[in-house]
Amino acid sequence: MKRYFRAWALLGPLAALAASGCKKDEAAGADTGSVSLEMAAVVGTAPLAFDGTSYAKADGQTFKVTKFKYLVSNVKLTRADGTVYAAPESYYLVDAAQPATAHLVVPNVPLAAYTGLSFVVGVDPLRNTAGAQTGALDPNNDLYWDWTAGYVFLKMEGTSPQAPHAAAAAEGGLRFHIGDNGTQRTITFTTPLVVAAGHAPALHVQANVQALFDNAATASKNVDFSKMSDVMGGANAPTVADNYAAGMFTVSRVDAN
Amino acid sequence: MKQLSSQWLRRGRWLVAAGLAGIIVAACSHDGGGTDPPPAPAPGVAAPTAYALVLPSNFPANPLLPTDNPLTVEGVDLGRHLFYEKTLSVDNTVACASCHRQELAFTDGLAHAVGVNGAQHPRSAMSLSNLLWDPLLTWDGTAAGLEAQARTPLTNAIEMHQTLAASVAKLQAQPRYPALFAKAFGAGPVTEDNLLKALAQFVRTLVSGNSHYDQYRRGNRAALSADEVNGLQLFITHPSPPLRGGNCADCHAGDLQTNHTFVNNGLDAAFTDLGRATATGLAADQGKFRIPSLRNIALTAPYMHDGRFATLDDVLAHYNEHIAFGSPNLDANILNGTNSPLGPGQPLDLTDAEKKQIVLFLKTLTDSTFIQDPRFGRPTD
Repeated sequence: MKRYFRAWALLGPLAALAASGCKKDEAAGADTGSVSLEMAAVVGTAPLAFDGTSYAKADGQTFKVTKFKYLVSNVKLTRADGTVYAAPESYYLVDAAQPATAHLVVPNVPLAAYTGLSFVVGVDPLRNTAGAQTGALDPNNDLYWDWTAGYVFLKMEGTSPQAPHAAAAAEGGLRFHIGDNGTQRTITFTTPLVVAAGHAPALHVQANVQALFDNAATASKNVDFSKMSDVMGGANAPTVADNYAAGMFTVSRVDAN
Repeated sequence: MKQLSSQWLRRGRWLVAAGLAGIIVAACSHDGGGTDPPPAPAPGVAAPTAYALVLPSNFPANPLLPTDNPLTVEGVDLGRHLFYEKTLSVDNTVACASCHRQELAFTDGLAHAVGVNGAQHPRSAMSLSNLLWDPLLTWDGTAAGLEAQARTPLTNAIEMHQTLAASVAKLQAQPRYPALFAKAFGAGPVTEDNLLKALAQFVRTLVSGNSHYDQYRRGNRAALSADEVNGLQLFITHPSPPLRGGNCADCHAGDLQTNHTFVNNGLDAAFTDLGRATATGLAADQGKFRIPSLRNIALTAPYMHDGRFATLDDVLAHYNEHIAFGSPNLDANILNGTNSPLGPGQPLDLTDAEKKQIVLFLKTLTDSTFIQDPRFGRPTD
């Protein structure tokens, strides 16, 4: 069997390179637990469907959704005394078309009674410009701009009859690809979250696609599809990012588990 | 033991060569649980040897490897024999390899695949490579996983038209196959399940990652000419006037040139083939087809699900000038993809020179190593 082991010795360093792309949830130590985020996609109050369902914005313009995905990073948990646990290497891909990506696990969270949780929609500037990476940041996840070598933080695609379109088409395309440094937005939830031995609390979060376009607090940022239907980073991206920061994510419930 | 050692020796030599080329080993299965053990040995039969799947370093590190069908040297070898086996068709004339020819990147050069008795398939045979990342296969995504996919061409009346039970009986009656199945899956009779599993294993090993484009992606800047680099730049760029782009990579994304979804790319205003809707029954999926990888695209003409375009120039002309804007469910990336300063709703508007550069880039996706790799060819034993 000697030769067997020699062959694997050769594989070792190469395998280590590959392994970073597929790490398993580490078993929690005695003094740590885990928190999960369960990300549901909705439009208004209805679950998001990719079946051609037409949704309406507050102004009556309608839209269908064919794609909705985004990157979540830099999860932080806050304690009552104001101290913060920042989860290292917390990068997640959420694709509403792939149910398996809705379940985000934050491992190795120190046991404590937390009062809130925050995450960033997008990738921090340092990692955003660090070139192609692995895992959630694998450029093959369809959230990477090859031509700028940066990540797309959030992608919504669909159609709307109010969007500009060719004469022969009934609808125009909706393409909201939000990225570039400056469009990262931090989402903060204030909610008791007890991470105790034997407990893995789950935060159920709803991401409302409609909130990309309807900003309840700042009407001037509402998106009119006849004027804005194709955003690829650039001047309009911060407006859309402001919208999803303002009201896209809400906590529907917390399971103590 | 002698056999085991020689297998490792062979693989070792190959790995040294591959390793130098900047290639890494997929050290994980899809659940991230590490290499799966091969099936337990049956009494009196040597355990199969884990197959060292080697993936190019510019490829994603998360291939779909089902835990109930781990790759083994013996399973892959059996699958290769089966892939070239004509007795799997009802009249012993058609093998998988009849429509999936290695020299054409596992296509057949035809608009419509031809099965037993000259039957014509309404669709074109798809190229087989880098399928480890595609959760849904065939043009309409009917099959989830290569094991499920293998069943269709074997049994379909216009392809090989033979029940799996009949195939199993034919294989069982040939001297070589019971032994090959036993090596791969343990003692016992040939089974339908293991037939599908072996074929899936072989197809999973068809990795194409040594094109000039791959070499360029792995750091060899001399691998592409200036025109080819310009074509690549256009290919990956989303047009956003004044930034000019070919609008290709929103769908043909990343190193595999696919985001693994299904879209309507505007071929027809009315559909004769419902595409993805065949599988889902949803009106919203009508006219959508799988976004194929563009690996070896210069070898896989004619193009589209029905082979309607003879050349890559025809394909570029379609996207640039002939989109059927009245087509239901037309993809947003096509609806909004334009270089025109007039904005969304206009055609793509590339110049002839730009189209030529994109075609030049597409030709750099040809992997001459892949189409000559003896591991994928007709078995000689």
